[in-house]
Amino acid sequence: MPSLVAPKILKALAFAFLFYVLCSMFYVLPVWSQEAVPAQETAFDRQYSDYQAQIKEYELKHSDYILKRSQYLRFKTLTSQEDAIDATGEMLFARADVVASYLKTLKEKLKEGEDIPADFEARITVSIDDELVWLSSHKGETATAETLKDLEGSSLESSERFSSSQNLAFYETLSAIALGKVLGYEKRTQDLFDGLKKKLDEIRSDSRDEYSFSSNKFQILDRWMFDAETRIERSKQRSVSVSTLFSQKNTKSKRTNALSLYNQTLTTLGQSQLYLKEANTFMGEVIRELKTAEK
Amino acid sequence: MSKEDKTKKAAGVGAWFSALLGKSPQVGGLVKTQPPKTDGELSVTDLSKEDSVKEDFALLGKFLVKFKSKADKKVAPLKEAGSQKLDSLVGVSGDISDKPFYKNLLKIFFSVFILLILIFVGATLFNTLKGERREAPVAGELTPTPIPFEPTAPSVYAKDEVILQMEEDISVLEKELARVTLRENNLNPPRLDFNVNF
Repeated sequence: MPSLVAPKILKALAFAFLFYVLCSMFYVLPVWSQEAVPAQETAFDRQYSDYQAQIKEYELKHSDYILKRSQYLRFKTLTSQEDAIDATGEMLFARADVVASYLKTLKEKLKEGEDIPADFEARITVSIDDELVWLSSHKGETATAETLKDLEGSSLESSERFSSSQNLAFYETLSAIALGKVLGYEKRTQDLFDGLKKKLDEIRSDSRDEYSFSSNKFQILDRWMFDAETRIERSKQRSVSVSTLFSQKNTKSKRTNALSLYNQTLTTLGQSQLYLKEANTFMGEVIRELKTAEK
Repeated sequence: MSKEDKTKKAAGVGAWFSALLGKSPQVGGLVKTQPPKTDGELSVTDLSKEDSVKEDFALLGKFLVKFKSKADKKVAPLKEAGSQKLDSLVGVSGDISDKPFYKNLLKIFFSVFILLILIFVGATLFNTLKGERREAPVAGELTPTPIPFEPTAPSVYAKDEVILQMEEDISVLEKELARVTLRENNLNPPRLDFNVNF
């Protein structure tokens, strides 16, 4: 008798285990199917990751430079001087790499922006390329430096460049990216406005009783459309003023005040953004009126 | 008033009292005027014969007289001592209250105190009444006027594909415009150390 019971128990256990496995699979499968597909990595993403890696590298070299410098200033030995020269050179190289990587990242971001005016994009790209060339040649000069004084001079040169033309390239690019965003929204809003205007004209020309509206209703619709159009116009005025700011001569004051110009640009574009939002709200009111029958 | 009138009046009162007790008034004289059988002893037996209530009254009176005399004997020394203590304690205040200035001051103080109480009571009453008055409009405000429902019928364009598409596009664009940040916070220029000197 026990010999017959044991296989039965084993069978029951095996069946239960199989049932459990099947249930688990059914429970887990939907979760697998919901897994998000990773977004495709763009050129900008790759460049941005590289930029982050460069920053980390620079931080390491910089801390090493600080250590060697302090050792040299303390002991003033020949060995510590040589160590300081090596560490400073490496730090200057890493710093130049960070700037170059940042410029490349900005360039990729600029390329992604679809609505940036072509002439701005071309001008900024040229200035970024110029800076990249300069950095490359500067690295060559730094490599030939033999004394700490040479390295100091090289760093000073790099500092001046960073705070003038490179600074302008940074903020001009960032401004162009912001302008591109607003211009894109402006274009989409204008397209929607044109489509809605066309539809309204169609409705106005329709003479069928149930398809036409009273003059009172059309007055309301026209008022909303007029308000929307006014907001789009105001938005355009703001974006044009930003474009004018860009086309100013590349003076020394512009280079040094690049950050304040960038902030000014953002303020103006923020106003433009608000006008566009209002225009969309008014167009939404037009749609609501169109969808509602007259009493 | 003559003596005769007085006796007449007393006789009238006695007659009234007798009538009250349900006894017939004695003609030609008062009970009081009757001489007692023995001196100092109240003729209780005689009285009891007349009325039991009268007897009780007489006993009560006797008891009270005895009690008063005993109490006076016991309380007199204590009263004497207490009055002496009280005099010593109140002596100062008595002196003060005797002075006209302090008397006036006390009068003013009590007047002000009573006035304050009256003001407090009045204010409380006024506030209560005011609160009651206010409650009525508040109760009215709590129920908002219902907005008249105006039914809106959809037009023929409510299901128009072009209109619906436009509505969706506008909604999406509006949300994007509300969310977008123009400043690239992750792309700020790097912070680098340019202060290289030895």
